[in-house]
Parts: sequence; C-alpha cells; structure tokens
Amino acid sequence: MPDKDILTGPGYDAVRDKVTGRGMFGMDIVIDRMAHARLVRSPHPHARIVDIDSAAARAMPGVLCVVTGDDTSDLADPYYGVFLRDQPIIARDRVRHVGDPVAAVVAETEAQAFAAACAINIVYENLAPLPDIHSALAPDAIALFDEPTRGTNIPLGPLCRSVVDPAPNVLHEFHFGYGDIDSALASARHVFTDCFAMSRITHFHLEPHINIARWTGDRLEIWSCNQDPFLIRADIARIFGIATNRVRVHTPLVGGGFGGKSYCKMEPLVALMARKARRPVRLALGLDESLHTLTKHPGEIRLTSGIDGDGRLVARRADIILDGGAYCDASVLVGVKAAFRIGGPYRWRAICARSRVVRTTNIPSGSFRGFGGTQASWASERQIDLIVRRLGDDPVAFRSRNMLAPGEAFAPGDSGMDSDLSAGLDEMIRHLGPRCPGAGRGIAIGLKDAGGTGNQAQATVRVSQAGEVMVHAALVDIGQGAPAALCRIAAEALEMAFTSTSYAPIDTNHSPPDNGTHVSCGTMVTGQAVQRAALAVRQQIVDFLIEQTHCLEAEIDLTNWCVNRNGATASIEPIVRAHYGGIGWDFVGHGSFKEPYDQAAPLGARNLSWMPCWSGADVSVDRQTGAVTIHRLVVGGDAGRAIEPRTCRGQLEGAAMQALGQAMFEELRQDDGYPSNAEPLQYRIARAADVPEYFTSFVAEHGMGPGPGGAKGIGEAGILGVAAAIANAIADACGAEMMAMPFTPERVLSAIDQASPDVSK
Amino acid sequence: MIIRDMMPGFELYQPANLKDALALLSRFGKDGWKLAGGNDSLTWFKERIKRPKAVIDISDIAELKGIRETADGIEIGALTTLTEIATNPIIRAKYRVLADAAQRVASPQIRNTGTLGGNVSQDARCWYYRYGLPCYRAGGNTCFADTPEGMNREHALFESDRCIAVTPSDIAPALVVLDAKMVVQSASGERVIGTDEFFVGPKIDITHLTSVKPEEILTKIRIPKNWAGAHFYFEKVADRQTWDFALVNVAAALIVKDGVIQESRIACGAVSAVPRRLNAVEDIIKGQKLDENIAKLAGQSASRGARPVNYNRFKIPLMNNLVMRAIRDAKA
Repeated sequence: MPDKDILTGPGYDAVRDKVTGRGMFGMDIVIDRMAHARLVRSPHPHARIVDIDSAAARAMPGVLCVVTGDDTSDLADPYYGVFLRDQPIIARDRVRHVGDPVAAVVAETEAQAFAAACAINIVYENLAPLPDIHSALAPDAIALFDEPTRGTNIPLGPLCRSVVDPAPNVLHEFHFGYGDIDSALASARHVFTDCFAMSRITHFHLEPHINIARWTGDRLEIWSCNQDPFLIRADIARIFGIATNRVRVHTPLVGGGFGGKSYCKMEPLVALMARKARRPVRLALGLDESLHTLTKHPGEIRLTSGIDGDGRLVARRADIILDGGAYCDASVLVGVKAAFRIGGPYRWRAICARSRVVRTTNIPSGSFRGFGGTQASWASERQIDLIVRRLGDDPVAFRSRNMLAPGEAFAPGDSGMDSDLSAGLDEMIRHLGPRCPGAGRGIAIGLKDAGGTGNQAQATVRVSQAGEVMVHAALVDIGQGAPAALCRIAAEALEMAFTSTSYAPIDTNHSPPDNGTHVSCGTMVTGQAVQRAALAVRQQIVDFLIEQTHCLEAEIDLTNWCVNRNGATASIEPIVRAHYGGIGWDFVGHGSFKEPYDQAAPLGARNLSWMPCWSGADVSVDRQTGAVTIHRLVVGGDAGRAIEPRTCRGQLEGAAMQALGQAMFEELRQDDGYPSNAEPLQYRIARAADVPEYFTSFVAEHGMGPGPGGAKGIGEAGILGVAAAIANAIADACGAEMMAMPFTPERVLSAIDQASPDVSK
Repeated sequence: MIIRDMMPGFELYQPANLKDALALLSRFGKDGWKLAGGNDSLTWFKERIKRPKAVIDISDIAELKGIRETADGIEIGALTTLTEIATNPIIRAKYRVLADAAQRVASPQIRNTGTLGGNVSQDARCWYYRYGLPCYRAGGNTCFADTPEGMNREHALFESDRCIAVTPSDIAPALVVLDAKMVVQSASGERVIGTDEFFVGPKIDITHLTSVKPEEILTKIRIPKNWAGAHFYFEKVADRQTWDFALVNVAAALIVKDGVIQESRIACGAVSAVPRRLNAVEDIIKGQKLDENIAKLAGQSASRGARPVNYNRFKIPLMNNLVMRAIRDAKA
C-alpha cells in the first residue's frame, strides 16, 4: 500500500484530523445555551444514603438544578446493564463503590457546578464493605442487593447453563462442558491443579467519558463518546419511556475505548440532568472519574488438567471466580466467555468449566479488550508451561501436539479453527530469532473468538453521479481505524479507487444500525454488510448504464468512472445527469449481515471466527532486585486477510503493550474497598521506555476468515498471550513461577526464594 | 467524594528577584507556598488538599538557576532543571552520581520542568497522605499505613516515628554521598547546612521532610570537590522503568587506591523519611581490600536495624543487594 494514501485518502480523514489537531472529539463540541454539570460521588465503598441537603448548593450563583436519585422516581426502569440491569443511573438509596454518583449539579459554568457540588451535604450510614471475592462470599456477608436482579437470563445453547442470582452476592453462574470429565480425568496419566490470579486494571482511555444531552420537546439528542450508539439509543428509550426514533445519538471521534465505552455509561444521567434543567447539559468527566467508572475483571482461576502418557491433553476442569464489582455492566457475558474459552487452542476429550461473577463493593468490572479471553488465556497458557516443565516436555512440541488443526471444531457443534495455529507458532519463533544470551524464553498462544455469536450489522453505500463514495455504518472509530478499513472494503467491491471513498459521521438517525463496536467484529460483520451494500450499489450502477447506453458490463470502468465503447470513452457523470437532471443522483445500496443462530452450537450460535495470539518473549531476571528486563517481545495475530496491514500491526502492538503493562506493573489497588491509585498520576500504564529492546509484530494472512477476502478480526488478539509468555519466560530464566499479576520486584524475589531457597545469590 | 481536579483560587505572585521573593515569603509566612517546577505543587492544588492563600512563583528568578564551577567544587542553583543536571559536562565528568540520579527521575517531560530544589523538597508520596486523610503528616493523630492491613509496600524500614512515609527523591541520596551543602536563605540571612540537617525525619518534624522554614528558600547547592572523580554508583529499582518512584535506590561514592577502599559514602533512598546514610557499612569497608567478600559483607550489613512493616519486607533483601552491587561495581 503506497504511503501517500495517508495524505490523499478520504478514508483516512480521521487519521489526518487527529495528527493535525482538527479532529472533533466530544470535548470540542459546543451546543448553544449549553450548561455544565459536575457529579458528587460516594466517598464510601458501601453506605446507605440517609440525607442529601442541597439547599445551599441550589442557592449558589449560576446553579440551575441539582439532580439526585429522587429525580428518577417517575422513570419506570432507571437501571442499566447488559442482560441484567442493576446499575441505577444515579444512586437511589445506597452507594456500592467509591465513586458511585450520588448527586449532580447543573450550572451555567463548570466552575459554578463544581463549587456547588462541594456545598452539597450528604449524610451516609456506612455499611460493611465487600472489598474482595472472599469477603463477599463469606457466609455472614451483607447482601449488596436486597432485591432480585432485574433483566433476562442470557440465551445459550445445549452445552451451557446460566443461572442468575445463584447465591448471595453472586450475580451470575455459568457452566460449560462436554465429555465425561470425571472418567476422563480418572483415565489421565498425570493430573495437575494450579491456581492463578488476575489483578484489577483500568482501560485508561485518554479521553474521559464526555456527554452532551439536549431535549427538544420529547426528542432527545445526545453527543456521546461511545462504542455502541444503537445500544445506547435502546437503553435511553427504555429508561425514559420514549420511542427509539425520538432518541438521536451522535458519536464523534472517540479518544480510545478498549471496552471502557461499551454499553451505557453516563448517557442516561446526562439526559436526566438536561430534562430537569430544561437546557442542553454537558458532563465531561475527569480522567480520575473515568478510572472510577469501569475496570477489567480481576479474579481467580483454578485449573485441573489431565494429560495422558503420550503427552496429550485429556480433560480440564476450571473454576473461575471473577470480581464483578458493584454492578453488572457486561459481567454476565465476560463470565460466559471466560469459561467458554478456558480450553485455549487445544483439543480436549472433556471440559467442565464454571464461572461465577461475584458482587463486591469495587468499581464495576465490565468489557475490556480481550473480554474474559485474557483471563482465560493467562491461566491456561501458564498451566500449559507448568505442565511442560513438570513432564520434562518441550513447550513448542507439547503445544504443537495438542493444537487444534485447521477446521477442527473448538467444541462440539461450534465452528472450526480458521487459523493454521502451527504455522503461526513457527512464524512467531522465527521472528523471535536466536535466544538472547543468558535470557529465559517463554511462549504462549492466547485464544478468543472474534466477531461474536449471532452478531449483526447493516450498512449503506452511496455513489454520486461523479463517482464519489460515501460509506454509512455505525462502526465507531475508537482508534482501530474502522473508517479506512470499511472504505477499502467498499472500494474493492465497487472496483473504485480508495481515494474516492469517505466514511459518514455516525448518527443513529442516519446510520444503519449494528450491534456495536465490540468483539473484533468490524471487518467481518460490519465489513460484510458494507461489502454487500457496495455490491448492491454497483449492480444498480451497472444496470443503469446498460439500460441507458446499451453497453456491455465489460465495457464499464468504474475505477475511471467511464464507459469504454466502440473505441470511445464516455464519462459516466453526463449519462447520470442526462437522465436524472437537477443536482445529480446518488445510487444507494443497502447491505446487511446476520450471523445465524444454531441450536446445536454451544453458545446458541457458532462463533464467527477465532483469534489466536502467538506471543513470545526473552527476558532476564535480576536475581538480586527481582527486576525483569524484557529483551525481546514478539506478538502475532491472523487477520485472515489484512485489509489495512499497518492498522493490524498497530492493533497488535498496542494490545501487546497493554498486556505488558498488566503483566509488569499495572494494578488498580484498593484498601478495604477504597481505591488507592485510581488517578492518572499514581496509576501506572506502560510508557515509551517500557517498550522492550526488540519488539515486533506480524500479521499472518491464513485466508480462512469469514470476512471479505477471508478477513477476520484481530483487534483484541495482541492482549491475549503476552502476559503468560512473559511469565513463562521468567520461569525459564530463574525458576520463579508467577501465579499472579503484576510481576513486581517483590513478587519475583519471593518466587525466586520459593523456587530455590538455598541458592546463594 | 468530590473528584478533585479543579484548582481552588489563590493569589499568585511572580517575583523577578530573590529579594522580592524573600520579602513575600516573610509577609505570608505559613500562608505562602513556593512554586518552582510545579510538579509536586500543582498536584496538591488540583487535589484540593493543600490550599495556600498565596503562591509565590519563584520559577523566573534568574539568580537561582545555573551550574558554576568554583574554587571549592561546583555550585548549582536550586532552579536548575534535572535535564540540565543530567546532561551537564562538568557534573557528568566529576560528580557522575548526581547526573545518573537526575537521569533516573520520572520522565523526560518532568525532568525538563522539574528542578533540583523541587526534587529534594518534594513531599512524601504515601498515598494515604496524598489522599488527604488526616494522618500524622497532615496534622492528625493516626497513621493509616502502619496498620496490619495498610498498603505499606512502599513505606519505611528505618527511623519511623508514628509516620512511616519515605523520602521519594532520587537526587537526595546522591547529594548525601557527595557531601553537598545546602544554602538556605531568608530575608534575615543565610544558613548553609549539610544534608543531615536539611532532610528531617518525623522525630524532628512530622509534617515536613526538610528543615526549610516557610519564610526560607533553598537557593543553591554546593558540592565540594573532595569527592570529584571518585568511583560512583547509582541504581534505582521501581515497578516501572519510567516515571515511577523508587522502591529502593542507592548512591555510593568510593575512593579506592591499590585495590583498597580508602573512603566511602553510601546512601539509600525510599527506606526512611530521610535519605539513609549507611555509616556502619562505610566503617566496615574502610581500609579493606575491595573484593567479592567485602561486597557481600557490606550488603549483609546494609539493612541492619531495619524494622519492616507488613508488606515492605522485600525491601530488606533489595537494599542489601543494591549495596552489595554498589561496592562490587567499584572493582571493575
């Protein structure tokens, strides 16, 4: 792909706008008569709200109104969450985590709103916090919710069982399995049980959540940085009891999401404030507030795996406990996916996995790049390496012996592996090169499904009389380069130049609906809808030209926007104008994609695709300080067919650095339910100097994906295997077995001591 | 919780010279706040925990900037940036431990704005204190970190008294081993003190990490030439490679002649409220042949007397190993 595309392709508008500072993010949007809001948030992890005294605040200069839980009393269902709805749009009677919104002030300026927010006096009656899984599961633990959870149980297929509210403070329990686990484990030559822990990390999208809401009569417009405009539209319509066509969600450029802007967040609360203030209202959170909004699921995974005498995996039992935090958010789906993916890219005779999402008084856990797959891959790939060392086997040979072959079903009734896992592993090892002298080497193959189950999207492609293409879809550019990929798919289907394409702004009144910007589905799901729309509009143009000029289809050259007939070249534009007159005409094609349900598939629909992450690392460990140096890090994914190769690498490398951060130092810490570093200065994400000395990625193109030209998702891949690869390398370097993240100096030192207590340093 | 990212108002003064600055400081006393690079101050203001009435921005005072070689060594203005210190040829040639320490502070952006004076005057990073809780250091009567469940992996091994916060500075141990003299001025005069008087622990003043009074300014730091060209060592261990505070750091200066250690100064940061000079280690190695045995012995003695709290025990072997390395390194 020529580099000049960066400068010339309208499909790259977003990239150009970002680097020149012209891009319009939510923060940049100004609406006439817009008022500003600030939130008062709970200082306690768990308390009953006794009284909110806002009289002084309301009398302060510029204050328009104060919104509290009382303002939700006329709303039939002021709760949100995915499948299960337990999160009030503003606290009603109880707060369940530090940072839970309790009151909101709307004023003429942000400073006035802030000053008034400081003047609100709230009396709390403290309740016992549930700072972790174990305190929440204790027999005498206080119940975080008095009422049964609202919403619907998730529909699943035959190998699954899903239970809502199975036990006190357990939100959801999920079982997935096949084969006879007991007899399979009994028949195994070796059986090993290991426990692994995941720390809590946060998305740290540099753009905090920002929303503006404006009511005109009963019509509501929202400008929101989000990943799911149509899911938000549906939630808002339900909460406010209005038709979906009265809600219009605009989604400007989004400054990073990683799942932190999936589903509803502040949108209903801002709409509520705007309704009470009778003014457009803007709520711009600070980065520290975003850190109090959503996190990744920490938890514990216990794996019991059996291996036969030939070094083949036989059966695995998994018990996964996730800390869901105070509210459901996307916890149900994360729990399902973590358990479902626990087998990793291997062949098993039997799997028996259980996941439980436990309610605690922590910041809610939800969607995070990798979505349960990171947790599962971390535990699974760590245990594979532990087993390899115990059996004296070879980490590459053991994996190769047990890997799923192309086309082999991941689980009975599910789709087949659509990557050549062995080829990818070879390629990764080739990139890793000769082992750094004195270093330990670790490899891992992370795996998650991509594209979702039963996912759907629609798209529209318009082509003007002059051959200008506009692609309409609701796939949000959260930094993954969605517009360029979709424009390229449209250009290829139309056989027109990429430089003639443009991606339309997203607005639920005009954009064709989709399920949201998740599960690495953009190129496969929305991409197929765009491809179909482009083919449909192409057919219209061809039919029109044949009808008008009696040419042959082969004589039509859409790339140069002309018809070549009888040795002469005729531009298409005059032909269109001659027929339609006026200002011209847009040909409009519609396309849609729906992944069908399949009652025989484990999750009720086959997984659209599979997303492996081949990872390898060379590290050395300072045995005296516990400091780990990563010399080489390689991460690879399979794009099926890379529509935008540079973007694919960007996704892989960005995700790998996010994984490196969690592996090495990232952790959202808390003390008895009080977050201790939930602010940008203290929270540590990876920085430029943390990039390993040699760090590279590769994009395999195995061509087996369901998307255009064999394309498939790659966006989350890079995060899946990296932490396990680094931990495996640490073990190889010094014998220290990391069972929990992050690998801080003291954790490494103490693991070195455990591994070799008497060795002199 | 009000999320605290909006600064409360204050009066801002931007004196052009030291005399005016000192006059302002004596006028405002405890209500005044000295602002230099702002890396510590602005966080306190934005968090709304420290609320000074008047902020005296001294960052434009030219006489507080620059590095000068003098007959007795060098003199560094307190407003000299950490980047300047890390890259200064004289410091790199003769007092390398200071350049190395400066190079390990935070991130390039922070080193470009952060000053020498600011780095050694910065406040404790104990998160309970930073959170605005009414702990001893904040004038209250509790330590939230020194409890069985307290988050105290970053906290002190030595010399704690009620408060167990540590010095966060990477520069401080380097200044200790260079035997630096701190020039502190007020409207009524000047005092020149050693690092042992400049840095103070909770026994002396539980609410401050230095002995600089509200009406005083640290104006310059003098480094005597007696340690110029010694064998230097600096190492910092932190969770993250950039922009992170030390779990333990070590600075060392050794004069070795014919394989025998003549003199040494060794100090560790992040193990007590003040940079901890390891006199005992210095005594043990003085006059000894520099070899692996003495390095090991020095390491074993480094943390003697440590009183760890619940989660910082790992700092003991860490400190021992860093000191061992510092000695061993002089052999090369």
